[in-house]
Amino acid sequence: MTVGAADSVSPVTTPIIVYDENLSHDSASREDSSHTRVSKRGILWPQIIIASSIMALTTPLVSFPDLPLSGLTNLRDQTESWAIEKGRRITLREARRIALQAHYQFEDGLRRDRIQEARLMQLSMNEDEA
Amino acid sequence: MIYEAVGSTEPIQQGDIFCNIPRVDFSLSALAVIDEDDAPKAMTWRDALTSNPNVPISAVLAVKPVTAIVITQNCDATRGQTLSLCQIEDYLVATNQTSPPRDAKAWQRLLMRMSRQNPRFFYLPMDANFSLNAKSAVDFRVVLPVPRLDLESMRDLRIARLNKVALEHFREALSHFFRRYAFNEWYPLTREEFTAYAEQAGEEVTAFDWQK
Repeated sequence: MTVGAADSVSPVTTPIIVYDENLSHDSASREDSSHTRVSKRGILWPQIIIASSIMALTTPLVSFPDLPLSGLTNLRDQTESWAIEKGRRITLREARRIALQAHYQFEDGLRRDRIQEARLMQLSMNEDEA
Repeated sequence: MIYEAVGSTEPIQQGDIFCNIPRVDFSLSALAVIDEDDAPKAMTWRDALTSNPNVPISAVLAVKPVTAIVITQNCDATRGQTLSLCQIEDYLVATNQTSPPRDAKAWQRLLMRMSRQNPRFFYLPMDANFSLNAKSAVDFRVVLPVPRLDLESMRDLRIARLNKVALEHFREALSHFFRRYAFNEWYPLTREEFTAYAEQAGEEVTAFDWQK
């Protein structure tokens, strides 16, 4: 988003639809129909990223070794012992769906959290008025 | 109103408001992890943990651009690896109001009540001069870590800064929210008073021994 665009629209209320053009998707899929539903609500659409160092997000005190990135051989040697045995293979489309599902869960949880908070506030207000 | 313009070369400070800050959403119960064969796998976070904690895990995640405000103190903001920001949301959405107050009197009543009773939100008035076109609220419960150097290179995403008066209030509100400690406010009530309290509490409360 450019500075010019930021000047002309409200970043808080104006919905921005951003698509990950690198991921192909079948327009007839259920996933896309959910995109449409979300888009009609005017919700900011999350981008999908390949996030490395996810541990850094959850355990910020963990230090990482200096992995030599020049040459796949070195990187492969470093990660050779890292073999995720568990989990089932999925397509990139399914990976995207899982990522978006986590986003929806977070938004839904935030909404329920705020509803609960508002109810507690209402109780408090009713008590004050009584 | 309570904002001031800030040049694109000015250092990042507490109270700076940015648009399009990434909020990464993920679930520990369902992750799409990219393994060493560059193939995505569905698993839980627990499954993804390996015997070598020094090797980071790659995953496909959703990232939503949000408006947010810097909460990191200025001294930390100049040298820390990471800046912390809190998400800003439309005020009515954040406070779950089903309809907007009908006039200024109703608005001020809502704003004052919320500021006094709910430390979670910090009110930000609208100001079209700074691309804040709706009454908004900082949600102190939604904290976003952002690499400092990256954000410094994208200072064009900064849209406003709290002025001196607002910053002083913001700092106090921020401190108060994160320095609260939980306590059971009903502890000094008599048994009868506790019974009445529990009936209207809206959440589960447990009586102390002297209240049973």
